[in-house]
Parts: sequence; structure tokens; C-alpha cells
Amino acid sequence: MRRRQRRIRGCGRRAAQLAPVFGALLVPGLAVAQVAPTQPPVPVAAPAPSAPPPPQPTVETVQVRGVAPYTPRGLGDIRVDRETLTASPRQQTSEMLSAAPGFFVDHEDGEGLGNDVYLRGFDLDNGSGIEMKVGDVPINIPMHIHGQGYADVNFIIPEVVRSIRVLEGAYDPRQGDAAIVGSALFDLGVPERGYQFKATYGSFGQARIVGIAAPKEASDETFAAFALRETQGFGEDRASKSASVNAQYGVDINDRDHLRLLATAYAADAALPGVVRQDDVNAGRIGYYDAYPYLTSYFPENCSSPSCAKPAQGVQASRVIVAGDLDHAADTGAFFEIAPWFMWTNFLSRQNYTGNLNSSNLQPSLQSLGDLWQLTNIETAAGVTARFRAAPVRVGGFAEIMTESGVSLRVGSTAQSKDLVNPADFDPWDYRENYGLRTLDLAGYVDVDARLWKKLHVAGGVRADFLDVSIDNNLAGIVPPIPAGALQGSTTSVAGIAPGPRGTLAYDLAPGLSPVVSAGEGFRSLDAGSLTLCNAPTIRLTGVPASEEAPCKPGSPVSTVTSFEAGFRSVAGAGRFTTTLAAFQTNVANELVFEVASGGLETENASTRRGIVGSFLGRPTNWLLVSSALSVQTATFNTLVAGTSHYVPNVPAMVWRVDANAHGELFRLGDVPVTGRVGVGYTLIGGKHVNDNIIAPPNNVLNGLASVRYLFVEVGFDMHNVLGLKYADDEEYYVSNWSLQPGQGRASPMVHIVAAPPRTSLGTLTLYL
Amino acid sequence: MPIISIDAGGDSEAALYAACYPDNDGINGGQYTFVLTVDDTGFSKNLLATQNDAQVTLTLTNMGTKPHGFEIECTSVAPAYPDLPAGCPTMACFPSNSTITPLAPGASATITFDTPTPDGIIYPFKSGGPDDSAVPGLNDGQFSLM
Repeated sequence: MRRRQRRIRGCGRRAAQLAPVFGALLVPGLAVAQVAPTQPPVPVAAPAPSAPPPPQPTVETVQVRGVAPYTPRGLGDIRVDRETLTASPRQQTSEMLSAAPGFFVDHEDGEGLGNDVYLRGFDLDNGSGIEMKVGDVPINIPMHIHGQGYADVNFIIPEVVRSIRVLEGAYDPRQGDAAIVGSALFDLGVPERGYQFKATYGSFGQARIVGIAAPKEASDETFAAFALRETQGFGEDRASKSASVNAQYGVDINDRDHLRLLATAYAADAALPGVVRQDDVNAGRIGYYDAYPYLTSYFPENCSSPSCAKPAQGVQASRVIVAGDLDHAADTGAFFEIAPWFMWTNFLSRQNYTGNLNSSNLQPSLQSLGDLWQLTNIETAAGVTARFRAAPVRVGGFAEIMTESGVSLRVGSTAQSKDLVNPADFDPWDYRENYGLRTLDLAGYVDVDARLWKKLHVAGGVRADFLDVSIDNNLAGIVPPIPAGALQGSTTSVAGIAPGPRGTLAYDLAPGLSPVVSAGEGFRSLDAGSLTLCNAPTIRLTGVPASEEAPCKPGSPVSTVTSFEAGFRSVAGAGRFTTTLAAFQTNVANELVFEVASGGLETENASTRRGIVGSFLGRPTNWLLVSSALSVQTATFNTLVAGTSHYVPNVPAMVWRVDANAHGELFRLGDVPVTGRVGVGYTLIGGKHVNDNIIAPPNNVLNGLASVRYLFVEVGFDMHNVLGLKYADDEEYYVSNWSLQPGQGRASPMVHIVAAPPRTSLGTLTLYL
Repeated sequence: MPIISIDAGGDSEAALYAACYPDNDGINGGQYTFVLTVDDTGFSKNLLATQNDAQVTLTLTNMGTKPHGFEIECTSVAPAYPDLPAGCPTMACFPSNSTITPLAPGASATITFDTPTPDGIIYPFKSGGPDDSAVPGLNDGQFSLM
């Protein structure tokens, strides 16, 4: 008999390992794998060598590795597969998160800036507040100048995203810094093997080229891909271009060891239009998609006229990642993994929100030169994640227990600054922040996943992160007005521990029906400004003058969040229909809000989210997928007396999403099938508080796609904002003095709008070779 | 019409302001420095912007030929707080120590004061000199609290 082991393509090694506690299968001549939607990998013992078989006809024996029924960490622990991710059109990788229940990702900023993410009562500016990883590489930048935990995942080429595991809430000890509202873990792979070339062209001169090499002889994990994109942008000052390279190589070193290498590089350069005031739009003084004519133009060298001027507002971002992942499955069923990584990021943004209200702090007699905030953040970071999962243990006949312990290390060195610069020449006219940071996050966790009496699942553990931050404040000690060469500086060191107990309890009440209760505590790093000014969060009591504030006390470098949820999960129709319903509450110790006056995110007081989120995913036939999710929530600060609401701005009271996709064979030409796909995605966002008194109008967003494929040629058509509605991706109420006339205009408070894209059509030709 | 003055302080008063005037942008506090000059036609800056509940140090130098000062006027909170709870003052003022009485030509003065709690509002400021009421540039200043 010929005996060999064969790994199942399409599931990936880590997702395709079968725990012996649930039985390894030896299936002659047949390999079948079932991948549970949310499960981490579980190692398996190889079958014990058997005695020489008696003579018989040759039989191929295949060891099948599947995934053990790990306990999902909460009701929002879901693996979104590629079919769901691509059910409706999504231009960027970040937008793929909208396929997960309760998520909505906007598209206001184009290239280079992390998208805003709405989830469970949070408006996560530029991704801050949701932990994101590609493989084991953390994408968030803990102390980014634009906001703690800033994350931009658009360096990942959408075509190579195989699945995304989302965890809503902090209920898993593996979740680290920035997991305020949850995590999104990107799994890369190309199931359709071969070579792909894709060209897209459409509205506003948008052009995109993608190439993917995924050799058929290699596993799904192995590919090399590039993407180039350029657009003139809708309206004024929205041109952008980007380039991205993603390459991954997965190889079995032997039957027990697997190595995966990942390298990515990304660069983006985009102009930004800034805001428009609602009163100017209503009066017809400026168009919805326009940009103000003054304080928004940069005049390069040898240019002095508007004809050669360029947009002053914009963003430039780049990122390089190199990572490895070695895992080992022991004979005993234990599993070990180690994953080192290196990352370099460079970020520069220039944005003006208020016109020219600001005065120079360092040179107070200087006239305002425009409120153009220039933010820079350059970080070099490296780290490693290692975990060991012991072999599953059976206790008596009633308990099955799996334990895992792990460590992670992240070290980073950052140079960051925040200045006010003259839009005409980008010369700084006021320095507001200038820091050198050295950060260390050393974490350890222990996790236990137990199934008791076959029906009761108890999962959870404890995590502790030791964080150490050393801050060189290069502007410390400078007293305005500054004499020439007066830079002094200071160094601050802050260290602290962020403990995080987390757990989930689930009970299999009936076949396919499980009530679930979860609780946990997460954290995120604080910003350098808070730590140097006060060595504590910049929380100030409303109504207390600055001169009467108590002296600052040394604080922790982190702020915490506590989450609770309870609900049920129902799986019916042999897994074809999944329904969840969860009530949740999240208590944030230190809110993070966008602040136009400082050109970025600032910390504020504590807040509370409460709400309900329900989801449905159905595959009634093999050609139809329907996914829908509705979340209803409130988000309020905790700072006021009873009976007076104070809403966290920009949090929608309701988010409803529906995706539907039909795909399959349309007809045959000869013996060759012609296949097609049609899909729609609809989002309703309502009840978003601009402030306590102003609620933004609801947004209706409808997107659609259609494609036809014959042999190796596919032609597709995507349309975004099918209804052609003018709606705002972002609305803020504050004082500005934007003017359509030169000079410093009168200031007044008003709603300011950042427009979402109008109707956008894109045609795509794909060749599969 | 009730008028509030923020410089009194005290826990109960702070609680009242917190209840009446929730912060519009979620941020308050900080330290700001302004250096202004004033002459017979106007201020060198007629637009000042800070956070609420912040500490301001302001220096004014009279470069004109007549006496000029600095005075921030009270204003209605209605634009930013249209649904005030009962009992909340409808007008807001800067504290009394935010005023510079008219300075003689060539004179200079520096004051330090705290900005009031209601934000998202623009408080007008003027010179307040005896001959300044008819000069637009000495009466059209804006102090914006964000």
C-alpha cells in the first residue's frame, strides 16, 4: 500500500489541521475538508505508524486535516469568506470590512488615509480603535500622530484577500493594542490558481491595473501581486495615485513544519479637497464637490499663478512589511508557531478644516497664514508573536480542554510632528508638536477553551501587556515668543501594565442554537501629547477653568475599554443559514474624538455604548448568497447629569446593510460554460449626531456589480452610489471662517461637509491565464 | 436675562455649566498666548480662537494716537445650545479680568484669564476706548471658542 499525506488546497495549512480529540480521518482516495467559519487552527497528531499491511490492491490513504469546533469568542466572531467579501462591489480592501455584520467603512478620503469604520456605536476615525492584522503582523500604529491605533489596510490588494476574521468586542486574549471595539484579521491567499491580469477604467479617469501570479503547483498561500491605481477624482482636488506589491510564499518544510513568508510595499499620493460649509453649499456659493479657492493652493518653485498651483491639502503614505511565520505540529497534537515581522511606515498629511482662525503660539504677533495642519509620522517597528497550544486533553468523559499560551513583542521608533504651515510654500509658521518616541509592548496571555458535557463551552483567559514609552518632546521648555535657536526639549518615560481578562460562555441549547455571553477588557495606547503634558489622559472637567485644574498625576500609558454582550447564534440548513442577535454594552474610559482645532484626534472623557446588532447570512442555493445586518445603538459621554444626553459625535444610531449575490452558469457555448455574477449592496446609515442638537440626514448607499466570464476572459461592470445621491461621508459642526473672497473672513459656526463620491461606474477586463 | 460669569468657579457651578453646556467638540482646556497691537483704525488681529475652559495670556500694545483697550462682550448661547435645560443662563460672558482698560498711546498691558465654558460660539470683542465706537475696525473683533 502506498501511504502518504496530502494537504488540502484551498483551506490553507493552518486552517486545515484536525484535532485528534475530534478524530483524525483516514479516507481512502478522498479528501474532504470542512472549515468552520471562525476557528483558530488546532493541531493534530499524525496517525500512528501502522503495521505492514497485508497484501491487497493499492489504496491511496489521505490524511485529512480539518478544524476543531473551537468556541467562537463572542457573537461577533465571524470569518467572512471571499464569496461574501465580493458579493457587492468594493474598491478598497478596507471596504471589505463592510461585509461583516455591523460594520460600515466609508470612502471619503481616497488613497493614503485610513478609512473611517463604523461598528457597534463607534466612529473609528482612520481605523483607530479596531485592531487590524495581516497574518500575525499588526497594522495599527499605537501612537500615530493622526490618532492612536491609526490603521490603513489599503496596502493589501483586495484580490488577494482570502478571508477576514472579525471579532467584535475584546473577548479573546489574543487581541492586543487598539482592540477597543474589536479586531479584523486579514488572511491572504489566491484560491484561483494561475495568472491574472486585470484592467479597470471608469468615471473620473479612474484607472487600475492588477497582476497576480499564483502558480498552480503552489498552495493557495503562494502568490505575487501588484496593483497600480490612478484617478483624477470626483470634483476638485481629489486626484490620487497608488502602487502596491503583495507577495507571499507558503511551503511545507516537512510533514510537521510549515513556513510562510510575506512581503508588502505600498505608496500613495493623494490630493484632498477639504471641507465645504453647509451654508455656502445651500446658498450656491460653492459646489458640493468643490474646494475653497483660498488657503488651499500650493505654489511650487517658479510658479506664481493659479494655473500652475497645486492642491495644498493632501496625503502621502508608504508602508513596507517583511514577515515570516513558522508553525510546527507535534506528534502529540501540540502546536507551536513563531512569527517575526518588520514594518516601516511613512505618513504625511496636510489638511485645513477651519480656514484661518489660528494664531501662532510660538510667534504670537504673527498674522494667521491659514490653518493648514501638517502631520508627519515615520515609524520603524519590529516584533514577534509566538504561541504554543498544548495537545487537547480529555478529562473523564465530560470535558475536552485545549489550552494555549502566547507572547508578543512590538518595539518601535517614531519621529512625529504637527505643525501649521503656509499653504503657499509649506513653510511652517507654528510648531505644535514634535516628538521622538520609543515604544515597547511586551505581552503574554493564557487561553483555555473547554467543552463540558458536549454542550457547554467555556473559553477565555487573561492577557497582560507591559507598555513602556519614552518620549523626547523636542518643543518642551520653549516659551513664546521664541528667540532664534531656542529649541530645548525634554524626555519623558511612562510605563504601565494593561491587564485584560476575557471570556465567553456558550451553551448548545438545541441543535444549531446557542445562547452566548461574553465579557472582556481591552486597551489602547495614549498619544504622546497626553503623556508629556500631563502624563495622563487629557481629560478635563467641563466647566472648570484651566487655572483651577488640579495638578496632573503620573498616569498609565493606556486607556481601557470594557465590553459585554449577550445573545444567541443559530445555524440551520446544514450551515447554509446563520443568524445572530446580540445586545452589547461598551464602556470606554477615555474617548477619542476628532478635533478640528488641533488637526487630529484628541482624547476626552469616558463614554458608554449600548445597542443591539443582528445578522443573517443565507446560502439557500449554491448560486445565491444573501447577507444582512442591522445594528441600533447609542453612544453618549458619561460627563453630564442625569436626564441630559450628550452624544459622541458622528456615531449613527442605526446601520443596516444588505448584500445579495447570484452567480453561476448562464448558458453554454459548445461545451464551455458561460458564467455570470450579479450583486448589490445597500447601506442605510441614520441618526448620526453632528452634535447634541443636529442630526445628519440618513445616507442611502446602493452599489451594484455584474460580470460575465467565458473561458479565461471575464468582463465586469461595477457601479457605486447607483442612486446618484449627494451625501456626506463626514459632517462636523464647528467654527470656521472659510471664504470665497481673499483675506481673513468673519468666523461663524456651521456644519462642515466632506462629500462622499457621486455615482461612479467602472468597467473591468480580467484575463485568467 | 440671567448673565453668567465663569471666573467664580466652585464645584456646584462647574456642575451647572457641565449640565447646561455640553462641550460641542469634546475638547477643552489648554494654554494660549496672543500678542496684539491696536491703532486708531483697528486691531492687528480681529479673530482669536481658543478652546473653552482654556487659559489665555494676551498682550496688547497701543500703537495709535488715542487711548484704546480690549473688551470681550457677552453673547447669546442660543446658536450653539438651542435647547437649553430650564434654569440655564442664555447669555455667556468672559470673566472680568479679560478686560484691558484703555491704554495710553505707546502703553502695553498683559492679562491672563480663563475662557468660559459655552463653546461653538463667537464672542465679539472691541477696543472700548472713549472715541472708538464709530470705528469699525475697533468694534468687529471675534473671539471664537471651539
